[in-house]
Amino acid sequence: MTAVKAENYRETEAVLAGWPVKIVSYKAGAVYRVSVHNKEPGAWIVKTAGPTLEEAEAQARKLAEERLSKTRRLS
Amino acid sequence: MTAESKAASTVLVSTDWVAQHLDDPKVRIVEVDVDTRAYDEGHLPGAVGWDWSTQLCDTLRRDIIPKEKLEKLLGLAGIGNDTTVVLYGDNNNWFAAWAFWQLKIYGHKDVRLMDGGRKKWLAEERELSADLPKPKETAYKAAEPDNSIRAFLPEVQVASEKKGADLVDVRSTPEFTGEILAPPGLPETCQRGGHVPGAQNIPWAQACKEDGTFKSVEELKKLYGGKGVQGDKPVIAYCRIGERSSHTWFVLKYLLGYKNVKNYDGSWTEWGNLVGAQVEKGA
Repeated sequence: MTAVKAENYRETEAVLAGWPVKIVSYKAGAVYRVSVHNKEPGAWIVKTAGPTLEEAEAQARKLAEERLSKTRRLS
Repeated sequence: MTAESKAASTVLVSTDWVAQHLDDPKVRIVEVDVDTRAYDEGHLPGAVGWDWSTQLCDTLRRDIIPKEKLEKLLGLAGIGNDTTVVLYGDNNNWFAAWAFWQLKIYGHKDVRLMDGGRKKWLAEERELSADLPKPKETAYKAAEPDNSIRAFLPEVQVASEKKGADLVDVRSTPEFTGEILAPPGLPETCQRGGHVPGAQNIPWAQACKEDGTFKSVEELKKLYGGKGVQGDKPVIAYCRIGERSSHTWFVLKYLLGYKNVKNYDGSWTEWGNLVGAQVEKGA
């Protein structure tokens, strides 16, 4: 069976494009996986993977910022 | 053990319990994620993955999964009528709860959620597998749909007008007030922002702790009871597309033991797009 352990699970908070988000990362095998979630309601917005945490997180932040900047505040 | 915590023990399992039952032939573990690719990134060893967007719905008309399709899906997963089905997923079990609700509509007896979902499993640095299980197919027989746990538009309209049921909007406060039309970063899927007149806002996440597990029954009683949702009236929960409200439906029906709780799966993507529907804005 191809099994690996999830490692280095981490959650940090940030503000991207004016929206509070949670950045979640973990390592599975040789791959770092990063996802960005809106703080409210807690839905994931983007996910990336890369050989290093820095690479995967930079990409995730960039993509999330693009998506979040499209959210309109109506009042 | 209180009646409520006894009820919870029949529908909730811990990550430890699941780890001990990964190879139990009477148990089938199923991952249902918001992100339908998450399963392929690595799942609990032996877990089957279901895609909510294609497998847990009618793909032609907007509806829950048809009975025959559900029977096939469960059969292919090796689930028999007496199998203990343990569901888990990302976003604190949003779509796992959605699958739970649908399995209950079709009368599956033993369905449980893994408390904390995928997040807790990862945070505990447990094992993940990329292998696809090959269960032996069964001939699953579903019951006729039990719509007593599902609310349709006419019932919600009556509840809004006559106040005969507690309407609980479980979306985030900015969605409820109409400040935004969809969760930040997600596509807008409605024409109007706001909420069903008479609904009150109790965001789904308030039922969870930081690690993704459910709060205690006492805390949950205080949360919902404090807003007047005490189970003495029918309750209808809704959100945007019905999955977050499945989560709240689960809490109210199974953790708090309220008798008459329905999930309005049409939710805001129905009401907020309905020509002529009254919409309330603000808190």
